This record gives sequence, C-alpha cells and structure tokens, in this order.
Amino acid sequence: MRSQKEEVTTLPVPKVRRSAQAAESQAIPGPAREEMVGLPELLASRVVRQALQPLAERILSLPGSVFCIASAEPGEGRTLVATALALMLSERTDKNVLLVDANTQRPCIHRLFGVSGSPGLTDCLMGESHLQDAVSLVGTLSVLPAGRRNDTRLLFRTGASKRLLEEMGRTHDVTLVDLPPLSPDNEEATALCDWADGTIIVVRANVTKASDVEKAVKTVDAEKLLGIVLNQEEEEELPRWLERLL
Amino acid sequence: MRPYVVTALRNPLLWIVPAVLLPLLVAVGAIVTSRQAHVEATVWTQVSSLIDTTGSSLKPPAQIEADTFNERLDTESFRSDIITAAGLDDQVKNGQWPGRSGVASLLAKFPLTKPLAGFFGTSSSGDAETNRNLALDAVKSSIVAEPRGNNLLYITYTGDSTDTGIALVTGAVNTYQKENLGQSSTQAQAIIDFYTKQVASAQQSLEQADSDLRAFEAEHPSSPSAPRPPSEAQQLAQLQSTYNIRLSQYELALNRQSDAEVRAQASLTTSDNDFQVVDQPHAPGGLSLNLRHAAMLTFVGIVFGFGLGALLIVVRTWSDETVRSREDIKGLFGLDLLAVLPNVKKGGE
Repeated sequence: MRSQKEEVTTLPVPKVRRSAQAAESQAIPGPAREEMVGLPELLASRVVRQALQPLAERILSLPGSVFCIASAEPGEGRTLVATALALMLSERTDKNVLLVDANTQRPCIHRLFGVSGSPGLTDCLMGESHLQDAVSLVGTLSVLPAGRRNDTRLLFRTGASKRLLEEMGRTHDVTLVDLPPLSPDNEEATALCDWADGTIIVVRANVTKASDVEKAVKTVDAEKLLGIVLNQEEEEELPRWLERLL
Repeated sequence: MRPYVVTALRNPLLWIVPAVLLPLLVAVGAIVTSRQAHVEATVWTQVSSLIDTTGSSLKPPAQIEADTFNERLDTESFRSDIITAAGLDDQVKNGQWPGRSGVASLLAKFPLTKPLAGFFGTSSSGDAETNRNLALDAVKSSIVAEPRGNNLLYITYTGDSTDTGIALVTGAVNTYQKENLGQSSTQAQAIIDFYTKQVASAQQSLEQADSDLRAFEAEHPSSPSAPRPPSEAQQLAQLQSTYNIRLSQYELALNRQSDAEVRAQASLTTSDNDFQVVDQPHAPGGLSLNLRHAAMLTFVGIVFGFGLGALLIVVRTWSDETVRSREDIKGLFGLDLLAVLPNVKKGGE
C-alpha cells in the first residue's frame, strides 16, 4: 500500500484553546482520552479530507440540516468523520456549521477543540442552559460539547431533545451530531436519530462485525439512513502477477 | 480466491508459523529417529575357476563376488540362512526383530510415552509368518556387498542396531562361505565322478581288447618253425594295436581321474582362501544419520506445514465476520457507500 505519511500535512487543525475553561474541562468525569489519540493528525490529513469531500458536498445538497454520525461499536471513527466534515464545511463554505458531541458517556470533542465541556448538550436538555450560551465558537465552527451531566439518557426520548434539534436546525445551516454507539441500550442515540434529518453510520473495516452493523442499521429509520462511511479500509494491492493469477 | 490471499497477506504469521515450525519439528524428529547403525566387514576374494559361474573374465574378482553375493541376497533361502546363522530366529519368531518403527522407538525412550509405543510397532503386532517376511525384507534392505578395487569386498549393514548388524554381517559372511564351499564340493565331486566313469569305460575297453588278443593267440598259437600267414599276422597286429590304444586310453583316464581328485581336493581346501575375511564385522563409527529418510520426512513436514497454514487461512477467512471492503457494504447491507477512508495510520504516522 502506498505510504500515506507524506499526505499528512499541516492543514488547519482544531485550534486548541489553552484557557481557564479548557483547564476546567479536564475535570469532567468519564472522558475518553484514548479516542483522541492521533485524531488531530487524522483531521489534518489531506487523504481523509479528500475522501470525505464528496460526502460533504452531498450533505449540503440534502434536504434538512441535522445529521447524526453513528456507529455500531465504539472506536469506529464517528468523531473523526463528524469533526472532519464539520471542519470542512465550516472552512470551505460560508455555512454556519454546528458540531454536537452527543456522546455523553465518553465525551471528547471539547478536549479536541480545547473548549469547556460545560455547559453543553445535557445542560440544554435539562433546561439549565440555552443553546446559544452552550455553543463555543472555534474559528468558523460552532461546537456544542456533551455537557457535565451523564445521567440524562431518558431525557433524549422526551420532546426536549426534539425541540433542541429543531432549534439547532433553525439556528445553523448544518448540524452534525456525534452520537454514541447505536444499540438498543443507548436511548439517546436512537432518539436523536429519530429526530434528526438523516443518519450516517461509520463502519471500521476489518473490525466491525457485519452482524453488529445490521443491528445498528435496524435501529435507524430506513428513510433517514443516508448510508455508510467505511473507515480505515485496507485495500490490499496485490502484486500484478498475483492479480493476473487470481 | 482473492479473500484467502488477502487474509494470508494480512496474517502472514498464520501460515508462516506452521509452514516453518512443523517442518522444523519433523526435521528434529527425523534426525532423532533416523540415526542408523553402520556395520561392515572386509573380505579378500579371488574367484577360482571352479566357482566362476558368471563366465565373465573381464570383471575383477571383487565385482564378480559382489554380484554373486547380491544376487544370492535376492533369494529368500539365502536370507533365511543368514537370519539363522545370525541367531535371530527366536527374535523373529517372538516379533522382537526387525523391531519397532522410528516413531515407536522415539516414544519408547520416554516413560510417559512408552505405553504409546506399542501402537506404532511394526512386527510385534503381526503373526510369525508376517514377522518372518518382515525380517527377510529387513535383511534384503540392510545388507549389501560392494567391491573395492580388484579383490576387496565390503559387506555392509545399515540399520537400527549395531549388535544386530554385527550378527547379520557375520551370519551373511559365514552363510556365503558355506554355500561357496558346498558349491565347490559339488562341482569337484561332479568332475571326479566324470573321470571315474571315464576310467571305468577305458578299463572295460582295455579288458575287451585284452580278451580279444588272448582269444586270438589261443586260437592261433605261434610256432617258431612255421611263420604265421600274412593275413593272420596282420589281424594279430591289429588286435595288439587296439590293445595298446585301449591301454593308453585307460592310463590317460587314470591320470585325469587322479588329477581331478587332486584339483578337487585343492579347490576344497583353498576355498576358504578364495573368500578370506580380512576385517571382522565391526561398526566403524557411531550411529549415522539417514539423510534420505530425514530429508523425506522434512519434505513431508513442509507439505503438511503449508497445508496446515492454508487450512488456517481458510478457517480464518471463513470465520471472519467483519466488514472488510466496500464490496461488503453493498453486498451485505444494500446501503449507499458514502465515503471510504483509507487506513492512514498504517502509512507510518
């Protein structure tokens, strides 16, 4: 396989804010530091951006403005896809783009951008904060962190989440929601998919079982399921003689 | 086919490990079990006229003797005599020889695996006839005569045990000598019998000639006063000539008979000298490795190693339930493929 190392450039990466708020965000319980390992470099990768460019253009052409990025299992690249798409759309278009971290159990987007983890999505759902107050502006991208509370699962099934998503749709041209893994146990994921205009499922090649993807697909309304993003595909380039032989 | 190749490329250890380890283990096992004893006896030979049955005077004596020895090894009776001469009859009968296979021998070396050795035994599980046939085959495959130069003959044994080898080579040399002696004796006796008949025949002819001459002289007595008539004298001269011829023939036959007896005796007494054991059967070195056997087993190990590796690749491919490629997305779920992100990390970041 062709080495991708040279493709990683110093393209714009999330500007990390070293502020007092950022320091405070380190204290939020349950963060998943390991999920962020290598993420900034991947976001800066030209290869990743080129691969997602058609999808970004497609999102702009779709009706609706709120889209969920989901997956069957943790660690399949949801945050990468959601963040990369959000950055591309906010940087290369004049659209007002909002990136939402809905993974309340393992939030990480606030760390990625160096913004405060609170107030955030759960605070808005609890009515403890307004959306415009919870959103942080990182360059041209608006970021809504997960929030301090992680005991608000049932709230996602209520009208509050629907209203919040509708508000996001009204106030932003494109809203990308980074969901927790899709499973019957994750009420917030399935609920947000129901209220959103479309859902994209991220599948990690050679890791995600087909049966798990099928289960995840079944939890989403078929009409709202836009398709699948295949992450970390390892396309084996066989020697020519072997290809001919096969 | 491509999925299997891809799996093999992605999981090289899955097939490389068995393809290397198995032949390695087999090679070690082969080296342990393929060690063989080597016994040889050196014989000085000269082919006497009496036992030169090949009719080829161009071959050196050692070559003729080696050919004869190896031809005799083809006969079951000769091999059977060797076993008897080596004192292995009882062991063959009891199934203790030719013994166990290499695997059985290896297992028998360790107390824990000793009970399993019987399952890999060869002769011990057969009946007496089977054991005998195995023993005859073992003699055929383990003993060979090879000429070295004009008169030296090496009779070698290659097999499991040095003791058995020494017994077998000793038995083979003794049996061969004994058969040679018997053959020389038979040939000598045939020649003596021939000349004895010749003598008897000549004697009979001489007696007849003597009788005819005496009868004629009795019938026609000679008188000093009256000379014999010419016809009578001519007839008498003819009878005397016949007698003389018969006498010389008889004497010649007697001489030949005597010569034959002397030569036959000489042949029998020098037969041992025609096949002299210069070096008694001995093991010139320790156990040697049967390279052919070891190489063959290693080759089998390589074949099975790659076979096992291929099997593991197939099983791995079949049991792999993960989504592997963009084709899987369309084939398994019927959904749109929105984007494909290559594995950037694998590129070396």
